[in-house]
Amino acid sequence: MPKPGVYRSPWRDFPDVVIQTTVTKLRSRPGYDQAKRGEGDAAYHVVQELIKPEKIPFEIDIIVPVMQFDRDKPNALPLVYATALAKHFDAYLEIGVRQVNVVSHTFADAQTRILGQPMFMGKIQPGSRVLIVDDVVTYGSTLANLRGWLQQQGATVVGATTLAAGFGGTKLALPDIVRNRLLDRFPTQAEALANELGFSADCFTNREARFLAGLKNEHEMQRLIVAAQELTLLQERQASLGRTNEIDPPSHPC
Amino acid sequence: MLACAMSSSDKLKLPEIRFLTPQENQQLTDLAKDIARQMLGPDWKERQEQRRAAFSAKTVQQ
Repeated sequence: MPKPGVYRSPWRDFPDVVIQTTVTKLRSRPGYDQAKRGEGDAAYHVVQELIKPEKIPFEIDIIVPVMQFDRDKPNALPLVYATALAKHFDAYLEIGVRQVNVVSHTFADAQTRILGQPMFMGKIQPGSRVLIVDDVVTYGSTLANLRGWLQQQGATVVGATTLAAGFGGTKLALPDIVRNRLLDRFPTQAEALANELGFSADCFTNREARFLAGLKNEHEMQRLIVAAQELTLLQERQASLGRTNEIDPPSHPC
Repeated sequence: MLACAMSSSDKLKLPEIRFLTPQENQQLTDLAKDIARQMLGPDWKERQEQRRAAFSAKTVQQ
């Protein structure tokens, strides 16, 4: 198993994220806040009202939820959604894979989302066809890194599903036109930022790249690179102080 | 540009990132098992293991 870190794979023809509803409808459900704070019963009621498993067209062996802490509570929504899908598809539910760092993305701005890259740990069966599951996709960093972590171990992530998506969030794969716009605007800095985060510029998600391509000037990009360098150092220091089992700095560009 | 070459007033505020504690890791496991037990039934673990074994056998054959 690779060491926990940031891993991403080239997107190739990765399909759009399958969603069940809009973010507004999801957040307006009674019990949504409790579900985000780890209450399984509340999450069950939210998910039961929303899901139509038949929307998911993939052949699946294993379902992997994003198991994460959001601030100081575990998020029950991805777990309940993934469990409901495992039941429907008679698939294996993998609960040993989880996010090892706590990066609160809920209501976070774009810079925070891009700098705060989730890292994962936990084994997956090589050769398996995997569906990854989260509650909401916005910039796609979490799903991109979970996909990378699983594919690094020889699994094939055939698709992703969330209960809802932020605007433009369902398209994870980076279109050539967006990639080229980013690299035209910031020819060296886009790759430098990606490397600092742990991957290559081809592995940005569509929304990450769109945000970066829209930065005002090189100085704005430079500020992000410097912040990414500082975060890497900070996490190395935390790791050396034993704040996690075996976190390594990002080291696997795709 | 190295981090030290940028003035501190010009730097971005870093997001708060920390590592999962062992207690939080256990909380995640407990929550996942609890949800699985309630939604998949009390014998979910055994059935999961059967599924895993069947899948492993299939991949070995291939």
